[in-house]
Amino acid sequence: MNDCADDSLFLACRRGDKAAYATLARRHYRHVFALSLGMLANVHDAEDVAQETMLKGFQSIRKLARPERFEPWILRIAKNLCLDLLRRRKRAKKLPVEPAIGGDTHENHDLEWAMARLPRELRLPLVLFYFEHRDAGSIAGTLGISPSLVYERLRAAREELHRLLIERDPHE
Amino acid sequence: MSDKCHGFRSRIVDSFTGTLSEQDRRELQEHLSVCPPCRDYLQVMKREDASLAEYFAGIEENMANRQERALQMIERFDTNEETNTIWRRIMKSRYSKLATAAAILVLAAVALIVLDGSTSPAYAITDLPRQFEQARTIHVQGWNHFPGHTMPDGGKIPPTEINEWIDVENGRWRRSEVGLTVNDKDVRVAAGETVSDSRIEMSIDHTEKTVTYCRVSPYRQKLGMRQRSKLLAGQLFGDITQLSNSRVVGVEQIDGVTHDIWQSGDAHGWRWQQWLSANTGRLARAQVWREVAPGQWEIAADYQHIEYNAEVPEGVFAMDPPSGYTAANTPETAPFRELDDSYGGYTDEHYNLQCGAKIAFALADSSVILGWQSFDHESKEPPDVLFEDTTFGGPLPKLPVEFYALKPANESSDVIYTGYHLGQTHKDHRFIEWSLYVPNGEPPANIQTDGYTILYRWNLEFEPRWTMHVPVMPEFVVETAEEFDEWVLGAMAELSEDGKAPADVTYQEVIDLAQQVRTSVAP
Repeated sequence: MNDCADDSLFLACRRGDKAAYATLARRHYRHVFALSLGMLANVHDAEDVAQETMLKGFQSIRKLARPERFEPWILRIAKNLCLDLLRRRKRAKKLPVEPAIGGDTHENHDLEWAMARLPRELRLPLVLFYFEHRDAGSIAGTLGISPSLVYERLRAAREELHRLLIERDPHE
Repeated sequence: MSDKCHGFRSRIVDSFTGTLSEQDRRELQEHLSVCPPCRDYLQVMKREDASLAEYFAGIEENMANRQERALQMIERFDTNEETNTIWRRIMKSRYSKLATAAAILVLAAVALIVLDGSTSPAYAITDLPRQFEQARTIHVQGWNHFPGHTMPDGGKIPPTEINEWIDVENGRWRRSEVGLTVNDKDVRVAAGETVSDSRIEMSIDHTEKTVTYCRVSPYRQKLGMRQRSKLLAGQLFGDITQLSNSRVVGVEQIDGVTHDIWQSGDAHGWRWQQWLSANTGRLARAQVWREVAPGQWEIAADYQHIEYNAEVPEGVFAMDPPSGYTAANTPETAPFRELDDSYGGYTDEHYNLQCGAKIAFALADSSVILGWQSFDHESKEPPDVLFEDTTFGGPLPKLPVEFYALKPANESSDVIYTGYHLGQTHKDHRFIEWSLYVPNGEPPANIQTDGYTILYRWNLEFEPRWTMHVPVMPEFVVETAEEFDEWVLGAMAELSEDGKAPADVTYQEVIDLAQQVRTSVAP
């Protein structure tokens, strides 16, 4: 968001222009949803958090001084909301949700089950890689880690997923 | 599976995430041509890869609808609706405003009654703090003892001398310090002094015969002066809020004048005695006693000479090393001492964390203001992003380590002080978070002397293997708007690059916020 058009879009958002914000929201919704999905391992929760994030972004965009920082800012809001939700889940002593990422993927129960059991630090890059089709450099930027660590985690995620799937169905 | 196969299986996995070099790929092909189990593994991984693609494609199908639902939600959002911070909720309601106003009136009425009732003839024990506070200079001399400890042969440990000055008018102080190291074979007493004048502090180690200087800011020097007075008052009188519970336990003639011996104590085995003339109001002597065994008291400090408003003799605040002492540095090369309370650090393969409390103040309504820091040196995320979502009276920023609440250091209390964001300042490339912690019940009576422990949580992907104990001891109780401006906003300005406190933090708003939080959590 560096050109003049984006700057004026941003200024319009700060004035409370919903149409301008909708343009911004469309650009970033997918990233916000993917991050939430990677954090929460549940499609419905990810959608709720993504919605809440976008609304919160609209309510507080006046506080954002620099337009070019919109993406890290909105992702940070999403991450915070995810952490809040995870904390509430922990307090409620809930196990990983079952079915984990279900709702849209009726025929992938084993995979849903395994995804929900992946450690979050492995699931996040995996979701960004397979769902968002992003490369290691871009994932590294979002997660604040090095690209080589992204590769390591992607490999570890696939290996762990494989192990979990075998554990789920030893005859596979 | 052989070790060789194990290496190739990692490459098989890597081939799906696109990280294989051409050479690795060639070698993998060669291996697969001779290794049926690895070929099977490749096939399984391919199936899993396809499942993953299919699985995310299923989620993808509804993305447009999801996005649309989010946009509709924004469309439906009423832009005139206030955001959901406690502060704004409060100010929105005329009832809560009225409740606040009523509470202030009640408090004012109670304060008037209390003040009126405390007016009594001069030279009672409760006059001691006022005399102390009004003194231009304070000078005490006496001896520090070591209750509960003896020399290895059972003999008494020789006391060390106390000779302290506070020069209120000129902002200078000199204090005596003592340290005791005891083991089976040896007892070591380390005696020292600190002299503070203007922006230089000189620490004198009488045991090693060395001197070390450090520089302090005007704020820190002013705070040090106030702290020094508070500490000395505590040494002489114990808890001044409990002085009215003192009782006369004896009478003694000093310099031909009758002095009542007043005594007070606390629940932790300490007892204070003061020799006070009811006629002249002179405080002639003070002692501190320690209960070393049930019913067995030993003297801890004996202030044999106490004088107010005496002229300071020449040399008391001299900043030159005493004769025969070595200086580790000079006032010009002395390091600058920051406002720092307690700080900790932690490093692992993911994080390089640092966090800690900078400074804290209690407010008269029992809430606490704390300036604190928390950052990860490894994080590539710009730190100001963490604050962009914060509002006055809203939730705390999700810093890597979040000091989300306080609890009384005294473990027996269940009261929790929940944190709310007030503002942030920026100095030396780091942010300082300023939070208000409001108790959900009546704090324990000894909270001012015991202090608090910080409750923290991680806002991190991986839970660090780190356990912290961060105590917080507020500098003092801020009673008025003037004190708030001087000390709290002063600390914020001190820890700010531009020397300014956040514009929206004012005494009245902070007090109102605390009151409203209380109202909102009241049963």
